[in-house]
Amino acid sequence: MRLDAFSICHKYGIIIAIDNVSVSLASGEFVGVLGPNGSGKTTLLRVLSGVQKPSGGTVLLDGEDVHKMRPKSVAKKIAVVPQNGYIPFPFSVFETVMMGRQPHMARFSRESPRDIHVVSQAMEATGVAHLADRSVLDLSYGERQRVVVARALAQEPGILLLDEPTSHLDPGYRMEIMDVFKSLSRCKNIGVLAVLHDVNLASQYADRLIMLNQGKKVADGTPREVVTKEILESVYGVESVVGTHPVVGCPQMMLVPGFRAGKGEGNLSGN
Amino acid sequence: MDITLERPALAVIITVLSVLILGGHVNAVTSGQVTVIDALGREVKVDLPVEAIVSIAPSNTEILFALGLGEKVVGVTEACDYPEDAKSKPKVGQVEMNIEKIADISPDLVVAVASMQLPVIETLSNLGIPVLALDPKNLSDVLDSITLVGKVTGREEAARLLVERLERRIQDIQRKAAEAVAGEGRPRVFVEIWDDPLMTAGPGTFIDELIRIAGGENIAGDVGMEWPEFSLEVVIERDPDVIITVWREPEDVCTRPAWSRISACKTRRIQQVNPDILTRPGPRLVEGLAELLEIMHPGSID
Amino acid sequence: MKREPATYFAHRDRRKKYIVILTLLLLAVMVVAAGVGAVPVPIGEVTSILLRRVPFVSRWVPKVGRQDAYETIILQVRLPRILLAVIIGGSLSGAGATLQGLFGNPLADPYIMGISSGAALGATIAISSRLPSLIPGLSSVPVAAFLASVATMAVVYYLAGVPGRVSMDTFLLSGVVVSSFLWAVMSFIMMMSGDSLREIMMWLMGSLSNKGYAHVKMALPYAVFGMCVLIIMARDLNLICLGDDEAKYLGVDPEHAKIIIMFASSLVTAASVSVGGIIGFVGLIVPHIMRIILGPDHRLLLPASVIAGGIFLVLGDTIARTLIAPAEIPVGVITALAGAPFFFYVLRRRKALRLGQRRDIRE
Repeated sequence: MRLDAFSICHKYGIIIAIDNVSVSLASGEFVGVLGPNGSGKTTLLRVLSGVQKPSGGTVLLDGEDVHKMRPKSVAKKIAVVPQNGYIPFPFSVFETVMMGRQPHMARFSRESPRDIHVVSQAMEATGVAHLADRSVLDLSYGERQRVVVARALAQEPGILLLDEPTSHLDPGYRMEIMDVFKSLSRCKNIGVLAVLHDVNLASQYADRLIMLNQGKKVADGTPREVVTKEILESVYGVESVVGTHPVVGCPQMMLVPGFRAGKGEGNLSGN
Repeated sequence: MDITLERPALAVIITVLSVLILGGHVNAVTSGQVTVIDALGREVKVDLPVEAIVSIAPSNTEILFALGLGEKVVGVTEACDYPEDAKSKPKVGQVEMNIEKIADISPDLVVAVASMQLPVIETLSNLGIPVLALDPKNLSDVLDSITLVGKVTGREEAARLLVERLERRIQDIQRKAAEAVAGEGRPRVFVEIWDDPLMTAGPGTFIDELIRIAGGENIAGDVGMEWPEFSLEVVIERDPDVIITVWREPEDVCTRPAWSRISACKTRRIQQVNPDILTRPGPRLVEGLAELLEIMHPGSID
Repeated sequence: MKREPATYFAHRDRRKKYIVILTLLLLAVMVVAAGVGAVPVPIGEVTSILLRRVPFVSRWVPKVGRQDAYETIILQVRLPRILLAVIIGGSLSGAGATLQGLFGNPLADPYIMGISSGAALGATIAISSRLPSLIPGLSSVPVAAFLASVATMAVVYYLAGVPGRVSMDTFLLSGVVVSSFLWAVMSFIMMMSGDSLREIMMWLMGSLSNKGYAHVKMALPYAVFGMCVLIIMARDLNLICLGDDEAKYLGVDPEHAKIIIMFASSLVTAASVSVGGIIGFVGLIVPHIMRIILGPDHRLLLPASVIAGGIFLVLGDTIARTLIAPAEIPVGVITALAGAPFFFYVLRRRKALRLGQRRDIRE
């Protein structure tokens, strides 16, 4: 399965959110999307998932235009974990995860044993099986986030799009859930594209990183190619040292405090 | 059938007679001040002769015209539709009265209804305009109201003649009704005020009193409200002999499936009566009474 | 991992069980209501009259007592009224459950989109102008109310920009605007029509007085059609509760689904308001109570709310027509009087239940 976006442009009124960005994602690949706040990451994800029709450009899912497909057909292939998986009504965890089976079910059909099996597996994979009967309103933020991930897994997608899936998790859960995504891409051959805030986490897990800045793609390559002192400085405006993770061997960013490029007041270290 | 001839005829007679009798009287009224106690227990002082009167209720307008004061009436409400001449009078309001208009007319007297118009009465009184509040609860109250209006407008004689005439008519109907009741008993009557929801007239209404006087029995006479929403199954159980509608066509009543077994529907004793002569506390209630008698005891009026 | 399927089947059984219990309860309430009224009919006669209408059984049931009047009362007065209460209660409650889910707002009720104000205006015009009946056995009031509410629906949809992209906020706003405009027009008419004020007020309070099979026939097709659509859309509604994007991620086109759901709930509301007046509280509290007892899954919640709404209104109307007999109370007064305290009771109980249920709360 492939997801290819060609020269995506998107404007909200006169504000340009994405400016001529092309992205591709193949099965088994783990792509991280980085960029400062307002760089168009979330918009890009919404365009890729098919919910937002871009002002220009096309997104092809195995050669078919995502924005012309029925939502149900798209949902069989692409699953999305939104940034804020808020659920206003007290559905149980099981019911919530079962919603992921919706695209696979005919309108009048009931859940098959296979649906139930898939849901169980998804709950196991994200460690929420023991919460099955609990109301989602009674869960902690981290638990709820893992329920939403389980729901996405229950869709049995070929492509998984994640919008900052770890933003409110503490380090243990963060690593645990990133490991889940990593193993999905490795073992189940799912293409994963994750919008991430944390440069070092992205560098650790992603095969490929895409750096966005002000709606433009400024870098696309291996972590080694993208996480560089120059790119980080031009995009985030920070002084940093890029080192190597002592165990994994991927590049890691270490900030040098007190310096912010182009901002005079932080200019203490004498340029 | 001949009741339809009778009704306007009666009205004409009353009006013409009143005008004739009072015609000579108008100029004879002595000037000076009259003081009466009105329905609210207020002392109302009016300077005679009264030249400009505003009526803020249809029933009051009817009383004033019946006393031959039509020419003195300089303001009425949109709802004042009787007699015909009332319609051409300047209007001072609909449900809400236009205080500015009334103040501008600056009448010698305003005739109001106590139960509905307390705020208006108070406002006008504060402006120094004499307001007479009427509040008749039954037929004899209506006659007293006529007397009171006569007194306050210097038409005591006209009022006395009108009241006597009305009383005589009422006694006549009572007598005929009593005869009919002795012969054929009291027919059970259901008055359909409205069909959706089903509403009727209960005790305390003029309708209830008129039915009783005219020799009938209101099947809703035991309800605790004046205008209740009424149980259809009770209508069927009490099986009225006569149904009176006020707004609905009599033909429409029995097309409703549940109604077809009611005696009144079987015998087609369903009549529509103009609600104004059943509900407006004025002289025309007596016409309503006559009409009810004719409906409930056909042929008893010759 | 072994227990999840079991959990699920327990859920599904529970769903079936509740629907069956509620349906039996509804039937029981209907039978009891047929036996209760302003005119006391002996229980033997009630059963005899009802059974004699059942094919095959009828030949074994003897005719007793003064059946003519009783038969009319039970078959022509009470039965159509009970059926109407079921239709209206079910419609309002089902529409309420739907709209609460759709707007994600527990305060939503069937009247939120201004349809009731359209019906009220139509009824007010028919009453104040004393519009004569056009269809035998059917007063002009429900007909006028239905036409006006459908017209209102069209105006609200047009203002909200349907068809096309439409946000729920726009919908609510145009509903509120149209509604307050129509109420103003209606108040003006009421002000101008002194002698029909009482009838209009009574209609507005909601009443099933003097209704027959003609009214049942009028409301039933719309109610049944609308309910079927809503129940079919229940699973989509579950996803729409999560938000537009989430619904689309899970394969439901929210725009499309919302328009269908809005249309169906508007239709059932219009049909029931036209024949029953503005009966409050049913569409607000019955779905709430059902949600507290059964949870938010609309596949269970919607049918359960429909049945429970029927039960609630049949009970309410039975009280309305017996409490001060031979007079009647507008049923809307009863639903509000009984509904509000009961609702508080359930809310308080829920607190206790939830505290008991909660095991390990947030870490």
